[in-house]
Amino acid sequence: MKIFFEQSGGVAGIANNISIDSNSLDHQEASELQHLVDNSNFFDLPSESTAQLRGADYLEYKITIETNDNKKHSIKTTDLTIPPNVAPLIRYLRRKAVREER
Amino acid sequence: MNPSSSYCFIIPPDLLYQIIKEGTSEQKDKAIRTLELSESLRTQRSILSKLGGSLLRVAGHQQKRRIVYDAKHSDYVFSLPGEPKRYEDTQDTGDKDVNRCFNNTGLVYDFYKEVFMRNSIDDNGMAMHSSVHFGVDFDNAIWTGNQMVYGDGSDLFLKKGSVASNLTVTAHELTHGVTDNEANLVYRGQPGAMNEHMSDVFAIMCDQWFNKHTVAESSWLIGKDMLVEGQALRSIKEPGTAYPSDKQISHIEDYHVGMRIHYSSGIPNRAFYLTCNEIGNNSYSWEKAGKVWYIALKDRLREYSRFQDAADLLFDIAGSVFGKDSKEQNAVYKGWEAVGIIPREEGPNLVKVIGEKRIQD
Repeated sequence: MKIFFEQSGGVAGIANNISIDSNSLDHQEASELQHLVDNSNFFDLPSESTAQLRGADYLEYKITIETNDNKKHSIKTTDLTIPPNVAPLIRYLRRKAVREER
Repeated sequence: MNPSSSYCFIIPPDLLYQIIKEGTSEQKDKAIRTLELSESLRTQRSILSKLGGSLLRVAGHQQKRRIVYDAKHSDYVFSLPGEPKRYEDTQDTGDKDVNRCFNNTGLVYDFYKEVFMRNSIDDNGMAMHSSVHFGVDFDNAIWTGNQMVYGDGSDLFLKKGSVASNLTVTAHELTHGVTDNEANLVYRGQPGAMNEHMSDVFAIMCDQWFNKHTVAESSWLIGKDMLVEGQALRSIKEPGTAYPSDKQISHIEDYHVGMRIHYSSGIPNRAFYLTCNEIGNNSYSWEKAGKVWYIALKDRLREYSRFQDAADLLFDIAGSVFGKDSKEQNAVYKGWEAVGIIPREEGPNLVKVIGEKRIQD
């Protein structure tokens, strides 16, 4: 499974990107990531969850996941519109992106 | 005292609505305070929409009203605001983030009240709701359209405990609320950059006002000492120099369509700094430039105002307030001229400012 994650905006206005190939992760982390993806029902999510009328400094996210059997799906969301079951996956990816950036 | 012990949160919204609408003035006041402390902002919105806001405006408060909540690490905005932890008349809690956020929110209120005679976010005594401990290691602060929200920081990007305790961050977020209530600049394109710009310049003016710093004495930094690597989130004086990979720009030549608004806001930010410096580096920013910018935000800028519109309006306002060809008006001209946007002597084209939805370029 491959994951492409883009994060931008926020009060800092800094953009971060990260690509993850679960085959390159150790078994425990790969299993944790698979669990987060499964729990998010990622492939059933609408591709855009960004509709909002107000607010500022929210982070914007784009996630694309490609499975080993070539199933591919992308979603866009923000801190203000994030579907609750995707929050743990985004939390994991956000930390991973910050670590990579450093 | 436990804040939640003084107010009842189990009164059904319909009953609150009836009390606010038909109760005695004492009952109304208690119901309104209960509504302000409601754990559900959706409940507040539901009642406010029924009332049309009119009764709350009539009851408009003249004192600051802060409420700080603990989001308890939820990263789902619909669970906000969280558990109320501190509001007026309560003492320090054991939570540093709650206390610092509470105190800083009060300073921002005092700044707007004393300098611009503005009574809170809506200029009508609106209660200021803030939630701390949002998400897990969340490196951000947000204005949701209803309230301020602060993460804890991850110690990877932002230092832990830095987000909710930084005065410029609180002033930046609260000013997004002021902008929502005034110019209502859309949050993309050049109007979005102007929206960010207003939050940055009122945040730095608040910091300078609190510290009694002149133009020369100020760091001109937003979010100073918050980053694990870098000196701040942004430099208003020298955009693009706050941290190693800072991409903020400071001249219109470097602008392109689709640029992120936190990058392009460096253009008006630099114009503001240069204006203040031109007025006098031993002067206070909020006294003259601040006055001009506040009038623009409150009365002249519109949803789709762009950089040129802002330069024209600010030049026009400076002429009205301080006189044609005054030092202050010339300072506004020089500030914008230096970032490549020449204020038009004939003044703003109001038809363009109000009538067109030009946000792509």
